[in-house]
Amino acid sequence: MEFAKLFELIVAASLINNFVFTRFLGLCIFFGVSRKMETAVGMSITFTAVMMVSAGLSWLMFHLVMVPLNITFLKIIVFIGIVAGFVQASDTIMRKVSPELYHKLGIYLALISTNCIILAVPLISAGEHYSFIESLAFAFGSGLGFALALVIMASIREKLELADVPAPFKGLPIAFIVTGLIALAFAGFSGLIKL
Amino acid sequence: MVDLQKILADLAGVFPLADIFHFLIPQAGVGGGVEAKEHVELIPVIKSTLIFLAGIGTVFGIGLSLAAKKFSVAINPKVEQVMDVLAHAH
Repeated sequence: MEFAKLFELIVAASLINNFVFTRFLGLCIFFGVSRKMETAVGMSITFTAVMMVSAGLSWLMFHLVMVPLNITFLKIIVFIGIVAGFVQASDTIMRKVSPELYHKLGIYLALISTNCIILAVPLISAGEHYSFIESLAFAFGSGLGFALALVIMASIREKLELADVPAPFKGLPIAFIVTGLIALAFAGFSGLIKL
Repeated sequence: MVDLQKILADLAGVFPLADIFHFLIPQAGVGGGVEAKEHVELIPVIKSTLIFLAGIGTVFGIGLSLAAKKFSVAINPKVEQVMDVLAHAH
């Protein structure tokens, strides 16, 4: 029962309510790093890791401190602070502890701290009253969905470089059109899970 | 007094399409989670807000500055000088 619920959360967050193609959040990073497959994969890994840790931290802060103090209306500003603080700390520590990993993934960290998906996940978890494990599963599903979106988009855009695109549509415009088409395809996932 | 729920139920009976609402439909945007309260004690809320924000700010500030000191990486200033001399085409 518990596992089925978690699985449902992960599928719902990654496919049915995919943050990029259904909710249209986090588009700046989505278009920024989906030009090459290499950056897309690096971004996906970093993003999912940061997302899960920040969702856990935000859940702890929300349920252990903010709910008892009756100050849940501060959740937006506090979640922004938690994400920014965690990203800054991991940036500092990673630079010293493993410079190789920093060289590979460090450039994505600064981008992630301003992403709206990373803020939306704790906000939705708080709004839907998810438990700790559920909110971690939700964060994992969202990261998985974002990774899926990035990999699909990167593979298409690498092919688009070779395609004969009309001059006005070269670059970003055709990427937006492709995103719209994929979003239509993702609409087919609605109704995948029967409640 | 009009019973809104009864009207909605009748409407759902009229339109067979309403069956799709049994499925998980996509949600757009982020919302919900706002609970109404009958009465709010303003002064304690302001107090706990100020204490909480000051506390979290202090904790984060001290933690980050300690981390920056403990994990500081010495960067050779010559690297930047050489980069400046080179053409910015890398």
